[in-house]
Amino acid sequence: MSIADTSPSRDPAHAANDTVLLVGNPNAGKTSLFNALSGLRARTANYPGITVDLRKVTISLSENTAAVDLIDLPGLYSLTPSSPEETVAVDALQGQRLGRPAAIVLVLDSTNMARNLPLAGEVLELGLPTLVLLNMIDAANSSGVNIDIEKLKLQLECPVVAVSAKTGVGLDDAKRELSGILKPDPSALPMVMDRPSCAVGCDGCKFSARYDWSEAIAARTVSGAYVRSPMTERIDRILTAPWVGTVMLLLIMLSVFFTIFSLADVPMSLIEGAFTWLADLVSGFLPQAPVNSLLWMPIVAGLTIATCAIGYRLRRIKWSPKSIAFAGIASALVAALPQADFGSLLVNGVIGGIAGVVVFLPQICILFFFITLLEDTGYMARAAFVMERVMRFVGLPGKAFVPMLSAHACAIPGIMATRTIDNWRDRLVTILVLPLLTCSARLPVYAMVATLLFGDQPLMAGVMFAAAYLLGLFAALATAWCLKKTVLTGEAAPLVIELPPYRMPTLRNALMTTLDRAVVFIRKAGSVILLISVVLWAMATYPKIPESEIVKPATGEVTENSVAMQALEYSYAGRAGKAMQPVFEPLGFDWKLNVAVVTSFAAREVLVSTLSVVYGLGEEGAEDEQGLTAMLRSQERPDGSAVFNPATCISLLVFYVLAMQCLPTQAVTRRETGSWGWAIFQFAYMSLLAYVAAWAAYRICIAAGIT
Amino acid sequence: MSDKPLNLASALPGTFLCSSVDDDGANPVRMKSLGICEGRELELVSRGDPMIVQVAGARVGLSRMLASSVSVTKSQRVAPNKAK
Repeated sequence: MSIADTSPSRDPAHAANDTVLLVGNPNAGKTSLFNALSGLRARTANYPGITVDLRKVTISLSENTAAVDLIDLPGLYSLTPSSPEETVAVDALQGQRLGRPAAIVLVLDSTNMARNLPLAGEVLELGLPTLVLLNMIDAANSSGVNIDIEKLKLQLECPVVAVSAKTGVGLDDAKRELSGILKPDPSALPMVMDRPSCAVGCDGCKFSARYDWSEAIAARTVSGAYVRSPMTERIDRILTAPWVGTVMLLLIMLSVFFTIFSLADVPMSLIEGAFTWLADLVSGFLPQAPVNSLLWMPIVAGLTIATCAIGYRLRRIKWSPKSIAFAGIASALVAALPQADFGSLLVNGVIGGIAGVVVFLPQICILFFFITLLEDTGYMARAAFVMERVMRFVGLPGKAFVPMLSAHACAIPGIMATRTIDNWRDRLVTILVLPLLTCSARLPVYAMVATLLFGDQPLMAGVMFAAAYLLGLFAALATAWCLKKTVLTGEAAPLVIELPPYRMPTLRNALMTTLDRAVVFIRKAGSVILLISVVLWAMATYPKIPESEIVKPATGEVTENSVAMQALEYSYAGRAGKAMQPVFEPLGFDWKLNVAVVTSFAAREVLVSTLSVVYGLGEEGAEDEQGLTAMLRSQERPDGSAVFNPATCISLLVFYVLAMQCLPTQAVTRRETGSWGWAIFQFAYMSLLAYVAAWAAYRICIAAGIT
Repeated sequence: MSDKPLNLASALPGTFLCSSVDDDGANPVRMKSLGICEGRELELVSRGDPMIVQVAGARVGLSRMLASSVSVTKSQRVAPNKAK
């Protein structure tokens, strides 16, 4: 068996299994139903040319039929799409994306058949074998809605099963019926469709004709009406009221944030601890004495190839001549490294790089968990509704509010949450400005600057923090407004949003969605970040400083920290810092600060630890806040003035508020926009903005005499 | 009770029959596929921008800009009990 055969990225067109598409209105409980059918086996499938996530699961319907691939399509109101997700769903139904589907499973919300049947009419007209599932039948029955399933079968001329994703009722029947329509009984009569077609009302509004058809069917098959309880009516009136609703939204979101920051703290420090332990373990395990290179090199090369293989598997890259060559060259390079360097690569490059990604997972996961819970209750639609008025001032839709708020914890879940924005231009503008909002990775940098500026004035430090948050927020809104006026012109698409009835969310659904998003993040961002952290490690390590070049201080002993400092100065990173001096001098930075800025390119939170190394305190120096502050304060320029004067501190702060220094975010932007072009645009405009704003801040401070 | 068409954006809460949707304005596909289209009955639940409309058994939040492209008449079928 060749390697290619085991690769998971088989062309879906050549997949042996039949494809079954799961389709339904948004809010019809389609995803919960998918989760109930798939359990934990579902995974986000990768289809060429589609940036939209499609979840897929291979399920066996019965013992004597072949397994089928069930794909959860994005929710639809009609086959006339009005968002990128809907376009993918419609194309898939029409057999244009994922091959011709073998069957369709159509999910209808039984509490509101009249609202769901128009889509059923359109889907049935496609003429594919279709199974109709009446979801939430328990909720419908308990509120007095009864559906005559036998009559509905006759009306729709396809099998109909009442199910509940929540209780699991009817799921086995659904599987049996599905295998039935996949293997049609040859003795059955050919289906003659009395389905709505253009003949009924082509001259009028086609949507209206579908609703007429749907109401006629509902009138014949449904008795009783779903009644919203007076209690939820009252709550809804409060939550959608202009002012009270906005205040309630802020309260709800603030409590979510409070929970995130208090809950994420423990797993984050556990993860940091675990990686420190792992790094110690690995460096203890590495042999100190030289090992025979005939033994050493094959082992190291093998390890490198294994790492590449894992990376390829995660990103579903095939073994092509190109990828084989990359793995070959990488393993040869790593095998040629001196033993000590290999240890440093493993500990600082690889383990450090992975730790930098994983440490933010708790925040990302908790945020996603709460967003999904709120989404499932039906509240998120109300949030978009009340924020519509406010967001419109900057040309963004109300749906951009939740992503913007999420970005204050971390830009990544924020960017992923923009998928709810239907209009592509609105979504793109939101993605582009999200990283300007202060995420938690900026906090160590803010804290350092606050200590430098206002070490003993907690009130002033608080004001500085608030100012930094406001600067980010203002920059994001102003940039959104500018982008809407220039590059991506056009008013925000006007709001049309269904406000679904409030429902009890299920823990299971929220957990599974969170897991899914976390896996997507690790898979897509993980390997790129690992690659870049290895490159940055190499930049900070090579070329090695020769023994003869190490300057010995007058007092005699050369300390380890002083060697580390000189080695960094001698490396490419140090040289880059010096070369960047003309660029960053107008901002008041010295070359050592430049080194820290250059290495912050992949992750801004490394600023503090790099400064610690570059000023000769060693990596552990960053832990000792007072020691670091004292050391930074004592730094002098060639002319004897302090490096970290207030003007430089403010300029540094402004730079870190606005600059794009987060590789994972860039990888996610690329994924969500479908091109590196927008990720590069984001990097370029944010860097330019950060530079100009930091320069202006520095100049103003100098002019005002704050030095 | 008059049959003169009225703009949904300036209507008072009550039950209406949608008489036409002006296609020239912003893209109305989403609005129409949710049931706010010619010949459908709808109920304006609360005014404002955005407003809340009940249509085909579902609540829909709708911006005033889109609502201004919708012409409605007082519904003949249901007594407009909230229109006063």
